Amino acid sequence: MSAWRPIRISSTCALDANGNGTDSSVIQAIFTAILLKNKYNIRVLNLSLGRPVFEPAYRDPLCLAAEAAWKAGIVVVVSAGNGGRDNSQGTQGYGTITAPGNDPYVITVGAMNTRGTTDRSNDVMASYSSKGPTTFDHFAKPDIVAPGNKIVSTLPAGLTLSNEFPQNQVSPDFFSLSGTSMATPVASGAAALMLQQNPALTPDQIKARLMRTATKKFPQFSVAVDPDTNIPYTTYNDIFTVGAGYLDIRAAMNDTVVSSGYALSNSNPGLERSDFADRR
Amino acid sequence: MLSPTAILDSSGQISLTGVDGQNVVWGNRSSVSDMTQIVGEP
Repeated sequence: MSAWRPIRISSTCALDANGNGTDSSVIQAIFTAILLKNKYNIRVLNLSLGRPVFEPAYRDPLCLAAEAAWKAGIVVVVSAGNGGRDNSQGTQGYGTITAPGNDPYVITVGAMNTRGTTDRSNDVMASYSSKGPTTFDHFAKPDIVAPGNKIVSTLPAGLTLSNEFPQNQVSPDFFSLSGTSMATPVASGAAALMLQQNPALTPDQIKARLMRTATKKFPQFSVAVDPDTNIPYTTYNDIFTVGAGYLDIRAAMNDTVVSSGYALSNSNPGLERSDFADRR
Repeated sequence: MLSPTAILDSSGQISLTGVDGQNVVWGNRSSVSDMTQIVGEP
């Protein structure tokens, strides 16, 4: 048995203490990660953030920064957004993927609700998870979905959220949050495990394996009732809601298929990466 | 021939210098936020 390399976590400052930032602050954080890639062996970049889409991905500064990281050999994992209940445009939450999750290179992650159990058979989509296709480009997003509802994780000292929402604190050192922000690092962790096992994998191969091995079995639809408003939300588990499926880390780790080429999220059959590049 | 030039400043504003040489504000890019929900689903 060979000794596995440890996984280390580094962070660069993209958002402020209230979880807000600008395109420039996020781009700066991404470029910092690219600059430090070799120094700290940065292989995965988790972006649990987003903003509305204003233009096609190929000319969006935020998407271009994410693509730059991808092309530098970093797996970029991005939250899909929490607009799945948004019907302000009459789309029932479709077309609400945020940027840079609308970029065809990156791995875009939606949120599942595990209902507090380890049994996957009762898991359902979180109704707030944003749905594709992406606006302007019509890319099929999200790429995968992962647990993101009521996720208990470590609580940094002095976290603004813990002061404002003490009811979410489950112990002095742990805090519960929901959203695609929580689902994204689950997928990032899966990518890190895959790279720990095989450091030679490329971002495209990681994305292809995660999507290929994701569980495809879903009920046709699920209904979630908002605990505050009692409003029911019906979620249909189509490709624009669950993407390629529910993250299966063990299956992804056991996958030995080495794909060639690229793993762009598709917008229409036959679209190749070169076609996308030609549009720039 | 002049072409449009976009400049992203440190405050997140993007300015576009149009082909006529005039600066116009293209869009306010100060709206990035985390994708966290305080209240989850049952």
